[in-house]
Amino acid sequence: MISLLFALMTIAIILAWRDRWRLSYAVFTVALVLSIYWLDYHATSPLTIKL
Amino acid sequence: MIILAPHPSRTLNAIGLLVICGILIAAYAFQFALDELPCPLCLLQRVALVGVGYGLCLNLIYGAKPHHYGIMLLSAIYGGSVSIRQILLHIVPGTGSYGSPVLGLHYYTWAGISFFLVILGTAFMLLFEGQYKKALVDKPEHGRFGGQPLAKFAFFLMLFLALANVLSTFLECGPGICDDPPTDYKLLEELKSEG
Repeated sequence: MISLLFALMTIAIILAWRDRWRLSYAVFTVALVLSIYWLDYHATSPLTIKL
Repeated sequence: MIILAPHPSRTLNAIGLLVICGILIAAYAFQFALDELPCPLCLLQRVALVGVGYGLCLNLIYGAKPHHYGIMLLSAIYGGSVSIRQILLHIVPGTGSYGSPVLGLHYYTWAGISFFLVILGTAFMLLFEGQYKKALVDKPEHGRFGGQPLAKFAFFLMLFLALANVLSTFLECGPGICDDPPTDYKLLEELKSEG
């Protein structure tokens, strides 16, 4: 799944290079949103600190 | 208004992109030299570095624009959040750590420092309004990347590293969820066991 995030970022870079900048921004946005979701998924270990 | 012409702005962005590439290369060097697999949070920090690199690539291709810097800031804030989460996991003495320390600090701490510096550097670059003047950015005779070989080299190095991360992460995690902590390259082990 994390490889998908890298793939989306790579596609965004390639699209920008090919002058498809609107699509590039869209792909980057999807990658960023999925990254936040994936951080929430993996950040499960309890912190031994008082916030 | 502080003046910074588009040409030096592009050079500074190219140097910034090379620094990001250098961090990704160093991460690979430690991964392979010390045989230490990156954990899921470590990989997410690399994703954020590629996101910062994407913002820099946009500046190299199209010339500097405030929203390109915005993309860098969003990516760096995301990466910094992941780093802080991992630092907090191990901040209390006796709660262990992940990976080997480099110059006394663990990778995630270095990543946190790097993202802080990206935010600082981006905020600094945003001060220079002269770089946004389109008429000065790309003269037709310059072609792409403002005709700068350094910008072109930095862009393709970033693209190569992004592709390399797709491949290495796929080998480590496969199409599913990454093991936490990872013990081996899951896809390679699966292929070996089937063969």
